[in-house]
Amino acid sequence: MKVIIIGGERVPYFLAKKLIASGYKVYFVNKDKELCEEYSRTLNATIIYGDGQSKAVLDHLGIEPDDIVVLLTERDRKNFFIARLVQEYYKVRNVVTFLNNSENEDLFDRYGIRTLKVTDLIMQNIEPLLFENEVVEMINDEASNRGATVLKVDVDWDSKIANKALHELKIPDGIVVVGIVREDKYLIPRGDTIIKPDDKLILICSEEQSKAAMEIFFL
Amino acid sequence: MKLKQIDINYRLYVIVVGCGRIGLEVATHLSDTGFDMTIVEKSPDALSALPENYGGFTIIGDATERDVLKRAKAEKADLLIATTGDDPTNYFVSLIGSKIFGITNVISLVRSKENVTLFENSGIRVISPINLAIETFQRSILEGVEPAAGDDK
Repeated sequence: MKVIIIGGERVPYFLAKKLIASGYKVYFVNKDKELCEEYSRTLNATIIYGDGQSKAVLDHLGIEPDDIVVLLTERDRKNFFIARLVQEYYKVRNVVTFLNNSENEDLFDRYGIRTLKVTDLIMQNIEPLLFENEVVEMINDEASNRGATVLKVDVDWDSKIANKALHELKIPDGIVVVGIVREDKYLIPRGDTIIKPDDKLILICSEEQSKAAMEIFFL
Repeated sequence: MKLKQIDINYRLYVIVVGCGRIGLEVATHLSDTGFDMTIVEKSPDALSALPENYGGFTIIGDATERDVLKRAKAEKADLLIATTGDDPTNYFVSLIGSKIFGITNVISLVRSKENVTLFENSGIRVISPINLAIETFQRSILEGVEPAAGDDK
């Protein structure tokens, strides 16, 4: 069984290195001549310079049904086309590909092509950050110039408020912690909520109390 | 009686993807013939090449994106014709048309001869300019060569 990687730039390099280290035979197909030359020097793999969308090029590889084909070209339609070529002509069972546009998942599924939804993965990672920003901006819109300010506190490992319950901080009147962003969740805090390292606290305070807030949370 | 009338008045709805040299001619011809037409094309410049008497709709956008085909009312189309210059794009659009939007008739231009089988095996009707040219040449050459007397046919 061999692993055939078509397209891509740096991902194939590290992927191939791992696969080779685990004892697999790796084939790498790419249209970029310089990249092919580089990888032929640095990787112990079979490097083929050519267009993976062309059956004539694929015919050189001696692809067999139990080979694994990994598609990393930049367009969904290209990856889909190559996936269908190898399924149709060499009866390959396992094809894995990047998917940029997640709405295409249904079509890939229909033909049994495995997909990694890159866009979705990134979105899942930044969504909490976006949400945190939106919350801060929203409160800020309402509060600023009306006697209140919004503060954001990043909690470090060595922060003095880390691993303490909110009520232990003895937060005075005029300062309210309105939210804690923890990993991908937004927590509505209570007095017994424990602040953890890597949390982000969102607080709102009156202008007079902003100095006191700084002292409690930052110093 | 009434039903029959509806049948007669029913006009086929055709979506042409790509407004290159071939797409443009096909779309113009079909709209002249009286089909309901929509052309989907990525570049506004290409659409400006359409003749003034073209009677169909145009949509600017990438037909491999779902919302573009939705805007073209792909679920109501009787026929989809893919005419872009890129085989993988034509293949992708054709299969989204047939498998996702359920268009029963899909015809695609296939530029590279070696791709014809893949399209056909996927249930797409193929127009291959190269194969058409070869056939036409062969026919006209054979017509010019009259079998000599006494030769077997």
